[in-house]
Amino acid sequence: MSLATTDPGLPFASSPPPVAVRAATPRAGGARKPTSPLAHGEPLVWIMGAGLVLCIVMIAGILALVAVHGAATFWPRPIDRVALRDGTTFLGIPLRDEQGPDGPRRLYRTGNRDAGLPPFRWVDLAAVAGTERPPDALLLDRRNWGIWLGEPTAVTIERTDLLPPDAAPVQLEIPPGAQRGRQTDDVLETLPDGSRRVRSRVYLAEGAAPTLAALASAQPEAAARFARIEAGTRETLGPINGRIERARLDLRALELEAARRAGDPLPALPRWAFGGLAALATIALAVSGPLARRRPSADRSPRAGRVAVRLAIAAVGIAAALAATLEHPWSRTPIPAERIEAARASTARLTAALEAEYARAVAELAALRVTDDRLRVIVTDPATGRFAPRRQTEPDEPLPLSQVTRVTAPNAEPWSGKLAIYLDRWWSFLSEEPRDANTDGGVFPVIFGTVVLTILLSIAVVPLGVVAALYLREYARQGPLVSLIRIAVNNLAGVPSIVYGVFGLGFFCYTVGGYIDRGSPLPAPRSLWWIGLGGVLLSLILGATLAAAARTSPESRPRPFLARLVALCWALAVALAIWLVASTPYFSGFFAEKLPSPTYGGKGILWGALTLALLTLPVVIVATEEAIAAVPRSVREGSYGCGGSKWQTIRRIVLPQALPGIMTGAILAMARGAGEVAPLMLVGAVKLAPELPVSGDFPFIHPERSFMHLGFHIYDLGFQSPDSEAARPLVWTTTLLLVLIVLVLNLAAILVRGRLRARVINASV
Amino acid sequence: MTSRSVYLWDRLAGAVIRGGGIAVLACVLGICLYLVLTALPLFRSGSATTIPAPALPIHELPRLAVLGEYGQAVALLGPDATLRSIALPGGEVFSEVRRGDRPREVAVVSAPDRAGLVAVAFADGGVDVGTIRIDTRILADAEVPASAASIPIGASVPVVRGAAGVLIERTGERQFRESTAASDLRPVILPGAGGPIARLDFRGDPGGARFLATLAADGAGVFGTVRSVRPLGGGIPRERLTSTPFSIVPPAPGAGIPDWLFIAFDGRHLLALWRDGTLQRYVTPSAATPGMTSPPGIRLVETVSVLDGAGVRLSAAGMLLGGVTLVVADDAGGLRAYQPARDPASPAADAMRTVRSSARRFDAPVSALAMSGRERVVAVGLADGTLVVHHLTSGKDVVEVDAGFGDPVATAAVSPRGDTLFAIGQDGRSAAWAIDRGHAESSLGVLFGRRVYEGEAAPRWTYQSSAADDAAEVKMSLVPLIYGTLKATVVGMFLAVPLAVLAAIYTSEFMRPEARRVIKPAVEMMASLPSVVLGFIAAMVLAPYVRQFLPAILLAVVAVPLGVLMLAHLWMIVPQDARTGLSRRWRLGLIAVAVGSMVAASALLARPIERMLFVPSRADRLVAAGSFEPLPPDAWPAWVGRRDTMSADEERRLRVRGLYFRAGAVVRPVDAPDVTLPPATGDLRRWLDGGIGRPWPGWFLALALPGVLCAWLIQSRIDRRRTRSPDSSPRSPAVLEAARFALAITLGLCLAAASAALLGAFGLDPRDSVFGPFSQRNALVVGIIMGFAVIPLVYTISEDALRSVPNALRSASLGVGATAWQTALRVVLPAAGSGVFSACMIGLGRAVGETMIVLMATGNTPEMTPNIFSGFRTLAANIAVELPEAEKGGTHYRVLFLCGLVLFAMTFVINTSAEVVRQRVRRRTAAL
Repeated sequence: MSLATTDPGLPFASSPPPVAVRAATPRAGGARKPTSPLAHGEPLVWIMGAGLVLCIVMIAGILALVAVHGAATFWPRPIDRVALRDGTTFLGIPLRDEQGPDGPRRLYRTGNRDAGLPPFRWVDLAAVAGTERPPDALLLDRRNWGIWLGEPTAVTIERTDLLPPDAAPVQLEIPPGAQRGRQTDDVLETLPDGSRRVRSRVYLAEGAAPTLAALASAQPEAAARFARIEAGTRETLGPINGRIERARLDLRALELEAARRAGDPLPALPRWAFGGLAALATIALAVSGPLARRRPSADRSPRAGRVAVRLAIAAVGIAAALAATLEHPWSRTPIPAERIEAARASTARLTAALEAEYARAVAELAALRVTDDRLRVIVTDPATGRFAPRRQTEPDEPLPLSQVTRVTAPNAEPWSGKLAIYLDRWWSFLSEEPRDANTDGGVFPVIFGTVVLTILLSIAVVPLGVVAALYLREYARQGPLVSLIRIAVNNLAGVPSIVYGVFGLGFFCYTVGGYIDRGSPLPAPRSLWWIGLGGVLLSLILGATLAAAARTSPESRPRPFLARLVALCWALAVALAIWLVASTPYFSGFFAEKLPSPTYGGKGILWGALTLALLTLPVVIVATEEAIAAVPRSVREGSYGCGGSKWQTIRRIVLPQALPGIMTGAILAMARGAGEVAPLMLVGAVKLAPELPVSGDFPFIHPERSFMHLGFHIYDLGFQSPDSEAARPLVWTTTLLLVLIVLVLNLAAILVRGRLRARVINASV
Repeated sequence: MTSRSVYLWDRLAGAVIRGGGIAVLACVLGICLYLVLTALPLFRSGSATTIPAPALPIHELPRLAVLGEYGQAVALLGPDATLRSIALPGGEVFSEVRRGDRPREVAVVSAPDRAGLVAVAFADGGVDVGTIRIDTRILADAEVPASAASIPIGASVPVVRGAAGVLIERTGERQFRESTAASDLRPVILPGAGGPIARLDFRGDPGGARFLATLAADGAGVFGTVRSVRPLGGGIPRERLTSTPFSIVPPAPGAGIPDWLFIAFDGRHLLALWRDGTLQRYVTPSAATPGMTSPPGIRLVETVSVLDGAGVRLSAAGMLLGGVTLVVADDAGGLRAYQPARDPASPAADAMRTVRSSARRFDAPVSALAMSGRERVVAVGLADGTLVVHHLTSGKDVVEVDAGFGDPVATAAVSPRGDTLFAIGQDGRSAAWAIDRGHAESSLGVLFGRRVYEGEAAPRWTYQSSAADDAAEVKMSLVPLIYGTLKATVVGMFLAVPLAVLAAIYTSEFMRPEARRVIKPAVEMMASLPSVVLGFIAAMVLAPYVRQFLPAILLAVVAVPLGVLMLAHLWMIVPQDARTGLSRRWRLGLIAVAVGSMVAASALLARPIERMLFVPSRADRLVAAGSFEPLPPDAWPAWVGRRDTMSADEERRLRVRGLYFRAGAVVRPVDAPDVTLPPATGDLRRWLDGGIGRPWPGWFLALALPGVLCAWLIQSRIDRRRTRSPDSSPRSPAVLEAARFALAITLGLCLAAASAALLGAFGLDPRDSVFGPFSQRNALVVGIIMGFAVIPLVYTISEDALRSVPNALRSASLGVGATAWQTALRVVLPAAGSGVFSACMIGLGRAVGETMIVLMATGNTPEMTPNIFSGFRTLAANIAVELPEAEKGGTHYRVLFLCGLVLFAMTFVINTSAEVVRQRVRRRTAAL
């Protein structure tokens, strides 16, 4: 065997044989000389191994980093009471130690941002006199202003009521089951505007242990009441606002339509002409079918002339019907001014009624809020002696209990209690909405947005990818066109994702979205448009006729010239049709009344999904191609042999066999789409989406809405957050979540692929 | 008989599938085409349409023409101080205001600055300052007069309101706009006023201060700030001038007074310009900087010529908005812009030099110039009646129109938005145009070439898309972004390619199949890590670590490969029987131990080595101890000039010559015996900042690895020749090999040290190139993290290429007695070489377009330095940062699309070449 002769291009063929090889050759008759160590190249093998080791260490390291940080975030950490040498003490959660400029130092999370202190504090260990873990130390997770660390002091019922003139203050109501404690005297205040206010406070519990117990019993109810208020706001006030907006938009749409008709007088075409023409063409088409079938014909292939006639009749019919719908001559009369006036008046009436309803709902909620606001909790910060305030501007008002989302006393919790808190925190992280500029709360809408995006993306990408792969494997003849398409697919795979974002923003959001909103930006003159329509129909007729002519009988020689002409006709028809749609003067947008605020013409989940679909198309194509190629040729030939057509073979034999491969492609595309951020930054993902893209409001799916996305959430939390240190734990958990999703999808793809390979091996045996 | 539907479905499916396949091709073409179509208007010039303007009732040429914001009207200041306002599509005079009771003859008018400030000097010696402008406001429904209520949309009608008339336009269905010519000129008292003023300029700065400079016919000048003082009892405010007198230094005997006088640089400079091209620059007291000892008063600092040919005289001049750039035009058709820029080597007393920033030559002499109030656009009226709107930064002629006068354009004006152009000929005929200005500020030259930007002495590539105020120049060179992209790519590939290719060879050739089945998906898994996660880790975790362990990381780059090689050589000394078992099963574990120990050694040794290498030199310590003597100024390097501070870069340039800069003077260390020197503790970061030390250690560090590689290659060449001699049969070849390798390392390090010393002796400092000041988010961090993104890709594709080499080749090679290593190196690798190359290209394509990592882990500053410790901005990150804020369809938006197109083109070339190579490989492996 001589490699050098089969392929002279291999470099080793021309160089002299390596010396070491000769050294390794056993000498005839002599003792075997030890091989030179150089020949084994052990040191260089080690260098290669070192490369692999580094690669593995890198991936293991990064996964471990994410896993450790992400998993540790929600574990309740102990709270230290730190006494410093200068005599001050504070409560803090020790986070990490570091070698600072003046010796070792430790980072404490101290929270209590609204008490005017920094929420994170570096302390030099040398300055610490001592630390202890008070069992009472309490961690409050609040709806606003982050966490509060302190010692539980009391649970109270607070009253700050405005008094009607000459009325005596009434007794405070105590929630059933609560223990009534000490009560402060009523304090009457006269406000600057002359009204009077009575303030008093009833202690339900005082001291550390009773306070904790009272908190545990009262907090769920307070939380439930708060949830009721929020739900009321969302479910009552939101829809009323929506109906007011809808009424305004309907009126605006009517006004726009009136203005359009006023500026566009009735065309001179008689009404009956359109309908008559359409009817005539339909009858002609219906009659020509049976007529043609009655003629005897030797073969079943259609004759070109017949095809042309029937298509021409159909074209006339289509054109007439189209003209009748587009020009709709019977409804082009201007809208009378009285009708607009009437619409205005009815809109005003409706709006007034809705506003009254709104005011009633607001009043109901306000009553609930007053009750909610009464129950307060006093948790004192030993460093300043101040308790958690209601607002930063009201430092003397204790925090309403409903503002507390979770009460934790981590120092006193046993291991099992900590685990329960840990799991509960994870659950609320996964199920709640973000709060406090995304630095607190959960990520439910983020996960939801990611999932919806991924589903939309796979709906868009799989059919297109499968069709393209089928074309490449089953239909295309190998040639320059297929080479070009392969290069195109590889380029699609290699184009930077941000370029897709740029394209998506410009094409999908601004061009296509703008078209949906307001119609064509440059409408063609009507006459030109109808000429264009004629061109489309003509090239369709011509194309079909030529195609029929080219296929007179299966035995005749293929005529490449005619085939090219047919392709040209189709291309012309497609190009003209695109132009017709893009420049139609008959479409003025679905959402023109909402302008200038865009509906589809801005960021939206649909555009994000389409952009990502384009991005992940090559993944699906490559995976599907691989799967189709793995279907043995013999199976196909069997199908053909039984008389199956090409499409039947593909649909019944090839596609079912290739299904695992297609699924692999879809899963890989989803994984890629879930992890991609750069294009989404441009076409859809936002910091905080007010509404979910799928909701209970009609039409339930809102593809124009912007959405939140896990990857973008990481970027936003890590880099755009006002308090990056506070956001950091959440970034880690979000990162863990994203990595988990992506890895699970990838693992699934690998498993499916593995099963596919096993089957292919079995099939080929 | 086949049913008709089967036939039909077959046809239909075929058509759909064919169409879909071709649609993929259309997608790529469509993306490319869309980007091209969006970016293309950047390179087009604008267009103009004539606004019908009937013959204007002008009999005397106006001294000043001011266009309204929307180009709806023009205000003309006549020589008799009458302000006439003319509606532009129509030509009616809707307002005529005369100042005072009697006509006053206007002697000279200053060109309006960007806020519309104007000074008018009268023949009677008085000077008025204020603004002349056209005010517009939106009318409420009730205010619309009956005569205007029913005009068509877009039309206008003059209405008499009060003393003066106004113009009312209908801009929408129920929207009306009213335009009024407004002038609030108020007299200002000049000290020693007597003779008529011959030249004057009036100009404000962004802080609201207003400067006035006047020059009487006898050469006596006054410069000062003008303040509005409201009298105590209320009433009309008065303008008060705090003035400094000055006189022009004649450049030549009999030169007379200058033909133009300008206030420049927010009142810090005065420019006097003669028709023969002499430009004198004076500094005013407001230019004094704290460090400079300048006498009070106005002094001449520089005299230059702004002509570029003999026999040519200037015909027009003006200051561009911002008051920094002077535009001059001559009677040979030349148009040039000049600006003062900081240049330490300048002979001028304030270390500034007047440099030319752009030049353009027209076919006809220039007869009129008008500056835009919003952008760096100038309207040039030519002697043949042509008008050209020229953008100075882009060098693009936005629009060229023929006024049809046949004779020179006397006065020109551009509206603030740059959408209306107005011109008056010598005979009083006028013309107006509506301009579509296109994207005036972009051209090939701006986007890819070097430009002299305001305040800079030399042409540079700069990217700065947004500026603090609208007078600042927008700098849109894509070159720094392309540079940043390439820098990120090169640094990333530098780490990723060796690791990935080495790992792939090991996996393919030296690993047991069962281990490979686990390892390969694990590395592939890395490919799916979202880049936002990598970027976050780079910025939040890696960057602080790199900052903390920088010496260890730099040392590890050298020590880990060398150390692992050395340990491998030592391992070979272990007797083969003991080795074989371990080697087969646990080789990777052994290697991991070796790598781990070398990393640990680097971490341990980094601090001592840093202390040893990056020490301050004796000269540094001498100067730090205060033992130095000043150098006589004539021995200073020419570029130092007169200055009180120096940048770290400039100090380093001095230090290369053994000089220092202390307290405003260049000094030289003096070796005195009694000086107590500070201790010599090395510090890498201070060394990088250029604070201490000589160039040698940096070069040594950079050259260590190449040096050792070089020595080893030479050694193996010699070695091979020696092994050929039949007699030598070393008893313990492994020991000899190890010794040889140790020798090679030593030799290599010596080689590196010697070449480092040589480079240092030539005055080359690595801190000017690969090293430099350290910033936390830098190219090294990006390079390391980029490895995570690129390695899996390169690894998988290379491994596939290596595995696809037929096993017959391996068997044949092993069969003739080659070892596994020889087979891998000389049989498998050459056969799969192009596949590995293609893998590297695909990795390159990924690195070029990587967005989130560079966005998060670099400072995104568009710098152009090769320093691996500095930040940069890539094309992709630039798009991600700026596109969400760019206005749709604007110049900035299109420039960002061009960035995308450049990126697309770069990856297109890379991927296509990779694909072509791969298709060749496929054919070849099929042949094997």
